[in-house]
Amino acid sequence: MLTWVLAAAALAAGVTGAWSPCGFSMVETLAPAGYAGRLRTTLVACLTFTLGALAGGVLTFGGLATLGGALGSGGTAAAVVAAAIAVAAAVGEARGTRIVPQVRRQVPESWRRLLPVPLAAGLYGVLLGLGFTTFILTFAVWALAAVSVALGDPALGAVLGLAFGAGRALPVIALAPVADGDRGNAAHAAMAERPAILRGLRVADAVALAVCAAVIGAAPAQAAPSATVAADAASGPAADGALFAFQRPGGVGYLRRDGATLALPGRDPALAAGLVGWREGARIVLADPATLVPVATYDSPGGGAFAFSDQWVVWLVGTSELVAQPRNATAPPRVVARAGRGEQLGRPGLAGQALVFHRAGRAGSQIRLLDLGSGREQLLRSERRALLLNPSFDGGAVLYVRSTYTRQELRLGPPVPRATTRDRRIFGTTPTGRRDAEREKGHRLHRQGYPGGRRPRLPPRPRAGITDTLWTTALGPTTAYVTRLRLRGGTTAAAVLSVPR
Amino acid sequence: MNQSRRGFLAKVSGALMAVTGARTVGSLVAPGEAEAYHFCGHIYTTDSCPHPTGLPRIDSRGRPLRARDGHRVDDLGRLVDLAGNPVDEDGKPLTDAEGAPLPAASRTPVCKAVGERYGMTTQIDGAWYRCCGGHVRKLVDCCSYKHHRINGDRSLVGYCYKGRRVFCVMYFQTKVPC
Repeated sequence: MLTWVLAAAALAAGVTGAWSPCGFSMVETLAPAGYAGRLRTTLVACLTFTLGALAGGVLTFGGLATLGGALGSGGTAAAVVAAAIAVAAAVGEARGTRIVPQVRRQVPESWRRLLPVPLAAGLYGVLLGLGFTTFILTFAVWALAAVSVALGDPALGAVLGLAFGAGRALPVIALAPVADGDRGNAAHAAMAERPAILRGLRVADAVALAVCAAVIGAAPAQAAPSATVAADAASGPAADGALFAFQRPGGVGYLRRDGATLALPGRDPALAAGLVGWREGARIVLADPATLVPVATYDSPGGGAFAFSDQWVVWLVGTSELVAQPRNATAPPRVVARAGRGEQLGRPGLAGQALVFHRAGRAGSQIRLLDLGSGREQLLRSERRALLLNPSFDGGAVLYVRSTYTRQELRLGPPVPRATTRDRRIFGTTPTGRRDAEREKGHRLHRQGYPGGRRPRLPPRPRAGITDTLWTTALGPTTAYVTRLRLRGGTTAAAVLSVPR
Repeated sequence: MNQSRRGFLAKVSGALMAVTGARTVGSLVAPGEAEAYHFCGHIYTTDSCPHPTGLPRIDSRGRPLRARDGHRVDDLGRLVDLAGNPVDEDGKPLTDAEGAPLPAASRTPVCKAVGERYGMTTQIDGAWYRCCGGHVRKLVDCCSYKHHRINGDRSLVGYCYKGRRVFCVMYFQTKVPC
């Protein structure tokens, strides 16, 4: 998206440049009746002019982006600066402000007399493509140069340069071959005598720059969606419609409804099917969330976190067993999943009779879906060298934590088997472990051997002394929740974060 | 008297010869303490293998260790105990808000993880030892049949055998003083 809008802005900026003294001169120079002398020479010269303009554009914008990369650009702050520059330039363009600073130089006139026209056209093309060697007709040129440096992405800079070069070449190669005809003369005259055309182009530049600013400004937000603290000193979130519940560590559960938060008579709160549930000792209680009057109870000795739907109740025993019982108690509780050696099972997520849970251990990590009615089990997600944790399920989508050594993420995807990387990442934060500087003291970060001396950027690392772990999740209709465990100074604190779905 | 003078001269000339010989030999061998690229001992341009905590320190079985202190880490970069369970800096188990231990994760040999990540067969072939920080360090190459290395450019033979080339590098810090 960013590439496309920047390319469009660069193309528009290049086209606007045709209204410069050099732009006009090029049409005259390359016309068959001009120095070219005949149409065939004009066409060859148009080709070399285009190639030169493309090369010049890549040199300037690709070079500036490479410079930006070398200076360490490319972060969120740089993106904000780039967006601000694009906004300022858009305002200038929309108002038709005189271009400052201006480059009051032109291409050498003598080349067209001394050199073969195709060669001269190629060299002229390079100079015009470079952008800053002749008169500048739009703030977009300055803005796109600054954006190239700020984003520091050579590939993006090269694309931008190609688009700019194409923009500079288009009016010339469109007009030069027909410059001697009536239509050519009319077009040339319109360019020279109707300021509204240039004015309109500058407005188009302004629009393109504004779109660039919006996309650049939105990019950091897309890369790292923000999370807010929904409940401090809280863990084990649950959500159902407008209801939200959480567990106070070491205390009882709390229910948030209609803007008020009230304590529940038990712990490990759960929400589903228009009811609220909690645990009282070895008993699970389901109740009306408005009155907290119990409507059903289930014995679950040794049970911990649980989930329920309109059909089933499922609870976790330690971290090794999941036990399920029909809501109507037509059958006794039965073990539906058991952890293998060195494995842990996670907090259950339940919708109808579909149970999702994690299996995590030293051999890898899985998210599984078990149909409690048929007993059919499916492996939804599996990954080695990562932890996939505490899925929530609303019947349509599975929300879970994916944790690797580079990133902890909250991912959302359909309840079908597929790769974790295909799921949408709705939140990301630094990993649990803290990497070092990837160099020993007195040594430099390794850059040798990489093309252009640029090694891949290292992933962000957590602050020293803080160990964050993304843990249990909950899925509401518009919001996803995740518990953040924070170990600092030997003490673990928990908070529930909320993220828009 | 003459004998003792002759003996003294013999000892001096022997010592001179020994010093001269040592210098000659010394000029033929590389310095023992190798300070070069991003970590001590590594004198070629191939970059480190991806490692959960950065610098590619491994144990004798190729599994990841935290470079700073040699503690075991899992594939998530968390410190782990002997059983592989995640622990904090004091060795206490990492827990959830209710004190229940967090799940263990895999702890894959670094070179094997490289193979899985880049979709190729990798293995450790040869190695070389250098003196680093007062201890002997084993420089270990993670080898593959690919002709490019982790840097993206052409790979080198390094310490690899049988047509394999160096994809990335690791090290094992011994406890042998030097």
